[in-house]
Amino acid sequence: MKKLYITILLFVAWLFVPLSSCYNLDDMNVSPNSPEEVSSNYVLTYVLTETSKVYNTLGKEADNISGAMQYTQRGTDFNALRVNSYDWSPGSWSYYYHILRNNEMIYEKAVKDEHPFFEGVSLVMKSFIFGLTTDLYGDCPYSESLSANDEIYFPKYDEQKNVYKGILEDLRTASGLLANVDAAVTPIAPSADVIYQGDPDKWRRFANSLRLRYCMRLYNKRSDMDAIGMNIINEFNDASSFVFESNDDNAVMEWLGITGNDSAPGGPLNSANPGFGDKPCQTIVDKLKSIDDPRLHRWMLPVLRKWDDGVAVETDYTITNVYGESQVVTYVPPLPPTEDTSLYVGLPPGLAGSIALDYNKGGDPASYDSEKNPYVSYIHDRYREDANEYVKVRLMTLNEVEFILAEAAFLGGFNVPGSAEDHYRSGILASFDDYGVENATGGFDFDAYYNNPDVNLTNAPDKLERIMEQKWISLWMGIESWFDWRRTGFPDLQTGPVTMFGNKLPLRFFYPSPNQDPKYLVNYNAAVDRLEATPNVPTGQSKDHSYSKMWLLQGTGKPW
Amino acid sequence: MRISFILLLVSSTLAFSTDTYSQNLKLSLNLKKATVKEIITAIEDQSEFIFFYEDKEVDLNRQVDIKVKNQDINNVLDRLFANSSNSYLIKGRQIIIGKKKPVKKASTQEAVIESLQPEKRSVTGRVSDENGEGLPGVNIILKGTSMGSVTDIDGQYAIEVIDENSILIFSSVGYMKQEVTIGDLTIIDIVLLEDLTALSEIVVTALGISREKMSLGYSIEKVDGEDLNNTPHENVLNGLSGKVAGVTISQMDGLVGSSVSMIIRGATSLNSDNQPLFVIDGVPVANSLNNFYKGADLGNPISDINPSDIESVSILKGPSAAALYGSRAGNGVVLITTKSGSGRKGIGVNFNSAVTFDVPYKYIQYQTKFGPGKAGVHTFEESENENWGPRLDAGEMWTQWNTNGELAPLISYDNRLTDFYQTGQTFTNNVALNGSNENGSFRVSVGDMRNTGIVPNTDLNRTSLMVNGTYNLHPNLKVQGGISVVESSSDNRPVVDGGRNTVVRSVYEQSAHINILDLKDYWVPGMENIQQVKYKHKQNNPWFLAHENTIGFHRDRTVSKLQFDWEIIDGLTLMGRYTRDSYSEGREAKKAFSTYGQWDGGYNTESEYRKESNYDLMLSYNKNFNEVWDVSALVGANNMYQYGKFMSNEARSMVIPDLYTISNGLPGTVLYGSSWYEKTIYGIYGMASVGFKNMVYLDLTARNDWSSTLPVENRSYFYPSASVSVLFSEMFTMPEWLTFAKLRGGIAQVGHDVGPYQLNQYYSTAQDWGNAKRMYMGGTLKNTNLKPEIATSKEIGFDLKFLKNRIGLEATYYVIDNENQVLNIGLPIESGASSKQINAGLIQSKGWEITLQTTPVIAGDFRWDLNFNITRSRTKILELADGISYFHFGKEGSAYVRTYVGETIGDIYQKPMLTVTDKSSPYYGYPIISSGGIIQTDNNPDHLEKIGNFNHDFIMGIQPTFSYKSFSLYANIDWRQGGEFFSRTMTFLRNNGQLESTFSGTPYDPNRSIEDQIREDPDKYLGYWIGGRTEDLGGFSWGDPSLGRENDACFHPGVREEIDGSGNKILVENLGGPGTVWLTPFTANKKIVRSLADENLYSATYVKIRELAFAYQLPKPFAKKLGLQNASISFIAKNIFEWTEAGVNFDPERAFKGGSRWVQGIEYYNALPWIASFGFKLNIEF
Repeated sequence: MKKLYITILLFVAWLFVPLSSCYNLDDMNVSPNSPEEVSSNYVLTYVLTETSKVYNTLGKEADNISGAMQYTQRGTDFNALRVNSYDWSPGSWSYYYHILRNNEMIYEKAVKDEHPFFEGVSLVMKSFIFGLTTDLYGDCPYSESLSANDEIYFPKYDEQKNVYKGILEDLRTASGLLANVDAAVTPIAPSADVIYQGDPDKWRRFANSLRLRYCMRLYNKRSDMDAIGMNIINEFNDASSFVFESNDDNAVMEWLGITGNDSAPGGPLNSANPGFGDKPCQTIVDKLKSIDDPRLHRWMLPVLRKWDDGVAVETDYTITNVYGESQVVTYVPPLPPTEDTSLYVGLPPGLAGSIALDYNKGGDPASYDSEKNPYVSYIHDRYREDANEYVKVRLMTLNEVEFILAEAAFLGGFNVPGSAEDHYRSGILASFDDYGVENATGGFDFDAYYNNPDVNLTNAPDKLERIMEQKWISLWMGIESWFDWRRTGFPDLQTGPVTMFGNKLPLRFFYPSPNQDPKYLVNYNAAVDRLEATPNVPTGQSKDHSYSKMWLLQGTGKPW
Repeated sequence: MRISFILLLVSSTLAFSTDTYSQNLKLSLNLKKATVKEIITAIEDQSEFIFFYEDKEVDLNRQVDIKVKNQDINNVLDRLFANSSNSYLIKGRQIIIGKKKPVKKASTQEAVIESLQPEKRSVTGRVSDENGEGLPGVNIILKGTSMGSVTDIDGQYAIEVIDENSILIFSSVGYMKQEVTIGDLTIIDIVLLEDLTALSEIVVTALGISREKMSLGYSIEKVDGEDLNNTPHENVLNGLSGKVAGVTISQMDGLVGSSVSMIIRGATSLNSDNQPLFVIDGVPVANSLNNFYKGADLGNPISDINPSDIESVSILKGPSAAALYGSRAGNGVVLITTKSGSGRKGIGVNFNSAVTFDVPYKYIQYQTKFGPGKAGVHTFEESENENWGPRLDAGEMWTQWNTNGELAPLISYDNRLTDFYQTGQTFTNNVALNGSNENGSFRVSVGDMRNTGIVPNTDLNRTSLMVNGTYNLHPNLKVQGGISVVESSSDNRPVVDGGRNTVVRSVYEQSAHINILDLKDYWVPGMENIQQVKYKHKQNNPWFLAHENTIGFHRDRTVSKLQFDWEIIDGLTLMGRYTRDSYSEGREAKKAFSTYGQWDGGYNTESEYRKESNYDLMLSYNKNFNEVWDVSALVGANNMYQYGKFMSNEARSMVIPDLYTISNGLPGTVLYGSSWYEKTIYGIYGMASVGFKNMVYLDLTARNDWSSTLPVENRSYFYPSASVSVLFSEMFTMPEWLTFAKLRGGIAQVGHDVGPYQLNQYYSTAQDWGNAKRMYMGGTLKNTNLKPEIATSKEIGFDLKFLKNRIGLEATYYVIDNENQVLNIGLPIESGASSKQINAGLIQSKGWEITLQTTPVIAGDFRWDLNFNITRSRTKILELADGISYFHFGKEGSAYVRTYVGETIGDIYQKPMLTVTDKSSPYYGYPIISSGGIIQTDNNPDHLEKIGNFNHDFIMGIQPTFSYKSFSLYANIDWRQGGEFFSRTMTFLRNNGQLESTFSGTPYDPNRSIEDQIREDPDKYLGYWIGGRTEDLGGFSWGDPSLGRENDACFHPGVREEIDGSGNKILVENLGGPGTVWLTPFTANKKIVRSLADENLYSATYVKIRELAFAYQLPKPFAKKLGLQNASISFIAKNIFEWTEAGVNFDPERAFKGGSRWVQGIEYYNALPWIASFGFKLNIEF
């Protein structure tokens, strides 16, 4: 019996121990896995790399803008309607705001810690991403955005002019902050800053170069901007004194090529299906060919099978380009006389997919992989690599700055030192330098190139068109040229035979499918109401359409 | 029961052979110092005699030496009772022992007779039931003595009585006891009335307390282990399917081992998987639906339970039933009681073995007439997944992947599903050993399940070992303990989703010109382990996927328990219990070289450990006062502690092929992660239950919890419950047909905390950028003021039994209000957060559940039982957070599953087609076609249209059972009526031209103007495409021979907008006449099937025969001869029949998306073949 009671006692004691000796409930709920505060260096790397990636994606070969600007076209049925015929649909801007939120963390911490370098850099990045957002969509949540912590869940869509005004002001502030950074006192870790390795001067040049970009963007609307207290000309002139002066100043992120995360999108690490479906567009190929532009050989490959009158039977030739790269091309005796006999064949814009995939095939009865029509040029192999010295994310480069200065000089009214032609030449040279044209075997004679009447600015029938045309080439597979085209109508691109909404190029991105909350829709609908539907927007359809004009284009008569 | 069975045998022989038995039987005994009782037992063992006596009259402990050989019974009994105060009487096979009368001295025999029968009177008669049927085996006892008799097979009896004051007691199981005073009667016929209350069920309720079901004020459902195991199931939940009202069970992809969802009374929580809490023998065990790893479903952990070990399952449906379990009981509780050794003397062995074959038998029918391509019948594009290319079997010559550059005819094969999928096999074996004596009991069970799946090279194994026992240390102290160890593992689980690396999609997307057997040797010769054989770039070889890209796991689970029950004084018990459930799961996923998208392979390995322990201390008191008040009360305390640890390593690229280690990862491509968490809850609880005269019962419970995961000020939360049960049939006299009537009702609350670390914002680590570390803040805004969730449930119901239990009807109506739900509410990301944790809203579920149990026929040995259960539930969002007006569940293709405040969960939306809305226009309602010739969706967000709802109107389970003698036939039929689902599988099969229905658009008469036909019957054509793949199939002429195409032009009928000379927009017909914008069949079809979700919205109505079992039980005598207690064999079949209203060979039960979040009503390649299972099962007890 005694044993029994001892047993019971032990049981009870054993159960009471855990019930009475409390866990500390407060300590228990602190995460052992994740920090609540970290150095901004880590967040900055995230913001810079992710911004670069999303920016790059927009201009990636064969995406909507590249197709619209006729750098590329789809050579297959897959995505042909979307790219070649402008069958665009709502995308997503979530990632922009996701990056902005993290950028905001850097900014707030920088203000709190009085760290002007981080403060300046975060303002530049904020402006860059908001600039991109409003360029693509028009009005967008801005002043009330990123305020979920203040319980503003449905921010209003700010009018576009106010967004641009905020961007320009922030960039001006950033330039001021960055001018006074002592990197020894308030540094950014060089390893964290994947763009400028912690150099405040270069960040300041980037801030000012962006100011040029946005001032020129707003040139047609300068009086509206003036009315809300933002003088475009003054702003431009203020910025132009400290901008990019060499390609070393470029805001560029290099791919590392180690994992999918840090590699170029077209390489095998990221692209399970290598981009053979994306063809260089006939528009740019023919342009480069007509002016004997050495960049053609950096960007495109000769056809694998070339129609040729000079051979009686199929004959293989080894073709070497100006950079010494070789490729075997099979010369095929001509069947029908209608085909293109060039070594570089671009795909004409706007073909239906089922036509595009057979383009220039003549009557060749062989069956080819539908993405690998050998009678049309491929984009250069370097765009299917994980990393390549000429494939990088170009957020902004010297040639753009030079072309902006050339345009400003041409327009007059700005305080631009040097002539339009000086800057125009510098722009082309900067692009050549960027793409290593000097590495051509046997060197490269720039003057010979420049003296071509189709290159030379002096002889141009329309100087602005000529500037914009060279800028378009230099911005190969970038998205700036689309914004330039909207503003100037140059280059004068024509649609192909199949278009989804009439024979015009699209003007903007559809807003992302809006949150369906009525409180959100009020703001969204207000922004949509401020859009101006062109006749290409179908009747009955929402004005949130790729053929509606945002404020930036309204009343400018541009691009059409 | 057992006693009465023996009595029945005795009495029936009694009727045929009177006293001859006692004369012929010879007994041999040799016992020293045996008690009278032992000797009686020995005689009973050797013979068919049964002794009757009254304890107080017989000195059973008197010790006697007895040694007899081949003596008759009289001789033996004479010796036994010599020199005692007792005497005996032999009546047939009954021996009645009484007290000697000390008066007369005569022969022993006479003395006995004299003493027992002073008046030597006998009474005879017949006992029958209310229908006049004779009742065999009724026990008749002379009150106050041990004398008695038993009725024979016809209900006849005879008994010797003492005097006219003697009282006879007639009793039989299932009937009300009757007492009759003899008086001067010699023949007494008795009608026994059925005892209906005695049939009431004992059910296990919260905290493992056994209660009479009639006393409960809430709905609780019990399923016996036997009913679960009519057919073998690898997951116990499948055995519950269709059998319980108010419960919806769906298996993820229909494969053995895939997760099974169980939702009780509708999904009330918007942010969880709504799975109930599972408690096995008092041990809460982990279960959740999202056990997905690299796309493979590893099965929910509840499948670790060996169904053969289950004695019964109690389903506590609402918070009323479950409130004592606290936080996690909001979705109901499933109490699983495993078999124990008690209830059986000695050692018993049970062996059961089953084998089932899973036969894929129905596939979505794909076409074999056209080969790969998108451009049209004139071009062969072998690399394409789509099948809009050239004719097969028409003599067309093309170079193909395996023709060495030579032209060869295109031939079709229709074997890609039938030759790929195989018959799966499952072998289940269980052995259990159990035993008990007066001091305790034990049970040991070993189980083994082995499965090979219908997808080649997939398997699932489970080995379980379970030991439990109880021992009475003292009459007042009982100790019990148990441990069960389960190992579940698989070398490869199939991935069933829409990814490129999944077998299901890969097989479907093979072209019809491919013989799948040509791909079976999947390595390129000489490049083994480096390059797979495939004919197109975009897809993996399915055999390669199945054999090389394996996803395996190994889960070790231990559930253990130690408990003591100390009865301090009569009725007052202290219970202490420690329980622990833990598992560790190792996972491994391989990707071989040449895998699409991961050309240099990859390797991932993860390990997870999870543990939960619970301490409970509970003091309970039970007392019955004067048979009027039945009181029980308890108070208890609980501490729950959870701990989890997770590690993962991944090499995204490998260096050496076929070497699967992390260290073989390409430098810079190795990713790693680790985390752990813990949480604890303290709870105290109490319950009081009062019953009044078996008529009214009142239950009250209350619990208070303190959770570590909530902010200090909200950490403590209290929730009570009350329920009432009123038994009208005990209170009032009911009409004869109404046997039993009970009304019940309850109201209860359950509080619920949140997961750990939900209060503060934390940075996460992103993948490194070279040597730079990257960190970011995720999009979820945390909330430092989170409050516990409170679910309030009200239910009311009745239980009725009619016609002496031939019909039983139970019905319940319930309303559950889920308040303060912690929701991860989606925010527009522009606000700076993509979601926010909030306490918000009011989610209300309402529904009813009805169970009808009937026995339509009992005729002799034939019996037909038929059970129905019907469920309907609807959940509405009544409120969300301030300023938030809808909740988004998910999106698939063009279908959106979302619910606005005030609306019902399950709504499916789409963007409608853009049409002419001007009623005055002759083209009112016509689609507005883009200049590219394609229909458009209306992008105005205010125009979003609701196209369906995934909820069934009702779910009905039907279980007929027929039994005749040793044979029985059982079926389980599941009928789910109503509701819709969106199938993205069908969207893609149509997009890819895999179905015969894609050969042509809407049919038309080619001999008449197509424009007229459209105008005459616009509903038939508008919104669909018109045309065909060839002229024969309805294609139109392109009007441009230079295209080199066949006449396969197609179009979307409608009107196009053009701008006329004066700048006005005018509508132009696009009806197949001049000016029509022509499309390829591929584009025409695609733009319809992919733009509009309602094109692939199907009825979710179906009827399934889930189980069919035909069993034969070996007759007892025959089994006995073989030395067995029991033996049965059954032939079983599962899912052998299914009818769907949609008729597309897609099983509506698969219409949901698993993975990180479970979304119902939409699916993507959850499209395995339909599988029927056949097999047999053997059960032996000895």
